Amino acid sequence: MRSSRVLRLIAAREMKARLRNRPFLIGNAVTMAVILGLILILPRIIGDDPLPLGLVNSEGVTPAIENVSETLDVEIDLQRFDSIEAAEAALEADEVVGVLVDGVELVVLEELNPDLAFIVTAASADVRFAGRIEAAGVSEDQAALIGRPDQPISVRSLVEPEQLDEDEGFFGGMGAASAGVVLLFMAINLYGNTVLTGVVEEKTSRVVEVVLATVRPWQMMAGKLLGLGLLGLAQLGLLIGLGLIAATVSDLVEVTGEALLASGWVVIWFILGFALFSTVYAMGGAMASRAEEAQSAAIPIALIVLSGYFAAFVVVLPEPESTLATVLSVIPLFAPFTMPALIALGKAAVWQIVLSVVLTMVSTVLIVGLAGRIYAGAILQSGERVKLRQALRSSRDVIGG
Amino acid sequence: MLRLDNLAKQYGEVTALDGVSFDVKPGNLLGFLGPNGAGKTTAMRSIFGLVALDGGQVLIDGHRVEPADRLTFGYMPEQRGLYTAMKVGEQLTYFGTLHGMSRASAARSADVLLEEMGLSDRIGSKVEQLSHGNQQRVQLAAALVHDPNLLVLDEPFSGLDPIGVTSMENILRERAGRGTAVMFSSHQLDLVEGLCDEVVIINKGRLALHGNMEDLRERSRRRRLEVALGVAAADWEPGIVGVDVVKRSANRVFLSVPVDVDLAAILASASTAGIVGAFTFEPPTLSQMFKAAVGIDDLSAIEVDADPSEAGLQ
Repeated sequence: MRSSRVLRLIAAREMKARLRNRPFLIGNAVTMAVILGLILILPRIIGDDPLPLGLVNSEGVTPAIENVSETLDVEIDLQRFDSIEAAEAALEADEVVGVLVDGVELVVLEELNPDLAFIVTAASADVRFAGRIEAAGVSEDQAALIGRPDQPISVRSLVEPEQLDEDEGFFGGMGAASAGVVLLFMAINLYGNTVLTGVVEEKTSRVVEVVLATVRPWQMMAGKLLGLGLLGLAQLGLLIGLGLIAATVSDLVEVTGEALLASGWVVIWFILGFALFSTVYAMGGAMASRAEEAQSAAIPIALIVLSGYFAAFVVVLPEPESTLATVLSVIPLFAPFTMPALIALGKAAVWQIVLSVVLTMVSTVLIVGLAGRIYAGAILQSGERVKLRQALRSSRDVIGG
Repeated sequence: MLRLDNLAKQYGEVTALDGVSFDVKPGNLLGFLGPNGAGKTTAMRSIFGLVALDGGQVLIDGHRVEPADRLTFGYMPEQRGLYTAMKVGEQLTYFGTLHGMSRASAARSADVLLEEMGLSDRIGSKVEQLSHGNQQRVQLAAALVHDPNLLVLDEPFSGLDPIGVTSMENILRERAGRGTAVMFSSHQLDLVEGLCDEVVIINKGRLALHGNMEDLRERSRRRRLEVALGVAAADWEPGIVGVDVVKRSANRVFLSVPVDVDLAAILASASTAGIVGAFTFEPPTLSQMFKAAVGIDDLSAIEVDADPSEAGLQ
């Protein structure tokens, strides 16, 4: 029988088994719901709340205030009060940040919010200017000629403020980079552990002996990794897709080409990272003899994955242009987390990406060779925990057969 | 025909197999016997490439067994193993497809097998929901679903109740009758005796006895002799060289004698001791041959028909 058919059969069984496993489904659904929820809620939490401004007998200024705040892109929440007392009570209760009385007096609790000061001053100036023009009997055309400076003062900064491009939003730049790294970490960790427990289950239930009577160990491992990898890919794709749709529909951010590109890189790095780490997880599972041992086998692997994750968050995201970040983003075991972060930040040169992908693929080939041998040597040994050298020695037992 | 050719395997200090050779012929039922640790499981696993031999080879129809050949083999390992969360029908279908069957024909074969085993109503149950006996049946079905030409079963009777034993015997007989080469290991010697055409006994990795069951009996250099002697059974001694008393019951004496023994002399000796009610001369049982082959002194064995799980098999 051709290997491709064997791999397909095994992969299909793996996928079906997970898709029918209720705890697996529920766990993943909850994870996805949490991530989607964060994507939808975080910008609201992080984003600026509208400024609550109390109004007492200031209807005349209201349209001007709305005008100015819209121009400045500062959301303002106007609340009307019948009496100064009521407005001041609201001020003391922190329900409003200021109260405009009779269109001329701004009452604040302690400190004046600078945005509010600017909006109210400008709006009040607008209203008074319009009143004077009318009193002077100047026509609207003439008034337009005289004009009133659009911007009362010109602002000049000595230090260039950080560029916060509108179109980068949550999915571009820092947000995309962090989200990508978190997604990659969760996906690789989750599916790596699924591989590990799956292998241990097959080993402890001894079904491996029945399967390996017809199938070669490498086929059994590759089929499992293929099935679970595809499942992981589907879940990641679904998650990214839902995230992008949710973001678009809720109109929180604009989904741009950059966002799609960053998502594409996350998918590519999941494939690279899963290929790199999953055989190591499979090896860990094969060496354990009980489920409890599998957990301790998983610790060193989890530490390596975690190191990459932290390298991305501690070094690459804050200082993408540092030498350390450049180095970390091409080191194979770190690259699946550090490189996508660098790419999402727009700081990865083409040569860096190519180098990092090539190094990751080369080390994957080496690791698959070694881990595959250990898997084959350890998977059929029951009893106590299998030692590395012992597994390597007995790998010749079954690898060829 | 499967040929195990001069198999050798060493595990550190332990010699598991040391030059074992024998054939398993189509249509034959071969009982594979030996004390625990004799190397039976190692030999069976080597057929499936689950053990790398240090020497020798496994041949099928004259050529070395290749992965493609194993598609036509069926294996029931000593330690049973199934996907516990998988449904019975799907599991059998899966194992059928792994042996190269199409999904449809594997599913059909699974249906037929489950029907035969009286498990049709459990086709949609998960394996973990089945009783131990039914799990054993499904395990056997997993080895049979692709209608193998060679069936290798490691301790298929262990843990089965008498009904399960009978049904297993029937299935093995039926498969052999259809031309399948069947090989199984067991410690239940009386069961093997009634079922098998051929036996192989190995001990400490070496072949101790091999042949057709009837031939072996005839070829055996010793015979069983049972003498009913009434009360005299308690203290009669035949007093003839080579004749050993194996056991005494209230009114019978059980002897192990050389095949060419002078029966008349024994009968004469018995007659002087008491009234001989019965005098039965028989080929040895498989159990006796087994003990002789693995070097357990027949005299030290308390009972001729000892439960094989007790007498010296550990």
